[in-house]
Amino acid sequence: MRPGTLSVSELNEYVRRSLAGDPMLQGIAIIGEISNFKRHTSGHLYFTLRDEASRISCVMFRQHAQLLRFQPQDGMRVQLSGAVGLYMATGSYQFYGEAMMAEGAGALYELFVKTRERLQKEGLFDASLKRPLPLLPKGLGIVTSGGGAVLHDILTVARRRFPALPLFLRAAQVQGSGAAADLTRALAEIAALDQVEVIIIGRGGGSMEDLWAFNEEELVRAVVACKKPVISAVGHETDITLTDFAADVRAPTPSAAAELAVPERAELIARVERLTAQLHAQATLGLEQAGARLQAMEACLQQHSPVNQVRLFAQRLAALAGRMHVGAAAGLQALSSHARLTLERFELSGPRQTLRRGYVIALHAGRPVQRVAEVQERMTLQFQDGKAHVKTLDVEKEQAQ
Amino acid sequence: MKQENEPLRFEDRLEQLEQLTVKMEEGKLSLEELLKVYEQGIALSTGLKRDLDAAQATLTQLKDGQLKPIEDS
Repeated sequence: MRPGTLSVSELNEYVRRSLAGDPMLQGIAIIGEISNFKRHTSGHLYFTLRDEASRISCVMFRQHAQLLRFQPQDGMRVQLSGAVGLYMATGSYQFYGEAMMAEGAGALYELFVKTRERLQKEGLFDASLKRPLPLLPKGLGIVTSGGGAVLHDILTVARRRFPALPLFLRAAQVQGSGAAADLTRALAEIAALDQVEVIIIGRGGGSMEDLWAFNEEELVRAVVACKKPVISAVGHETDITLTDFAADVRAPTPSAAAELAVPERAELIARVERLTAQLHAQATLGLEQAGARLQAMEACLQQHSPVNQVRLFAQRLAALAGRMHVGAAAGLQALSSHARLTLERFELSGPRQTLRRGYVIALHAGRPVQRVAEVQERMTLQFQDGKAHVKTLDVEKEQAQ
Repeated sequence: MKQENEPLRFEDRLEQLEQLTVKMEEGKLSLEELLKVYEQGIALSTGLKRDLDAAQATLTQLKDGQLKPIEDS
């Protein structure tokens, strides 16, 4: 072998040591845009950082990747701290990242906007997907960090509004690498509980990086697909994450989320009482009205009763009878006075009156003797006050005049 | 899938109670119907009030797939 001839491994090993020994290449940070991002099952991250003119392969091992506060994605502009080294197997030099930060205020935001637009186009945030919250859930599921202000706020409000409501907590990692995955699992687990009918998912305030898990597609899709209605309460009122867009309702704070999820018991009681009172009042009123109607019907029935009709007829009959009576009496009276008059007239014209005037009637065998020729030997003379039986001595007939 | 005999949700029953009240207020019911509606309403009201009964609150933690009651302040 010529002097200076090396095996491939020897060369690579030499270059590796040279790179590692160069202080300029250790403990530095580079800025670039991520592309070809891959997360290996081992947990190591592989990607390329590039700028307008150049690129470099990067790797971030699991122990460092775990500490990431957000999920790196293609297109994201980041600042990567670490060191330059050589990958012996391929002889390629690469950057070994140890920490990563989103570069500049705009980078994460830009990604946020891009993802939001994409998911929006897909219809994930459609209003038609929003489910109404139950008025009184059987139980409230809470997905947040195990301790801290968020849980405390939710518990305080829930206990105040409806002390008897069962609460279920699934503590989850709310920031850093793997947070989105844990939150997604937590959401699925809590939603699987029968008693849970509404879920609050959230965390306290923080930087955009701190909140980044709530912008990750995995969690956003899980929130949309969740079987139970989800209320998001991520960060402060001014912080907006994609989880907020995906949730059925977005609450500005954890306390507000609890107020949305948990009804005010006193209010519900008052509502039920009011309705019950109305029910009683209406039933009473209905009964009273029915009673009044019954009375009215009875009166109506009585008015049209045949008894009345009969009574009316009887009255008319009585009146007619009365009139008939009066009429008959008058008629009779008229008749009787007429009869009396006639009798009087008859009597006036009869023989008795003539006798009273001094005349005498000659009778024979009860019949008046009116002519000389009818004179008998024995006759009776009728006076006004008695009779005389007489014998005829002589008759003398007068000459007709 | 929803079972047929699954009890209605609180708001559904509250809504029913409201509708019964309105129905009674319309005053078009026969006395028999009125009393029937009233009976239904009282049953609903009793159930709703039972749901609102104050009881001891519970906080349960779901950890490693297990439900455990936890003490909280």
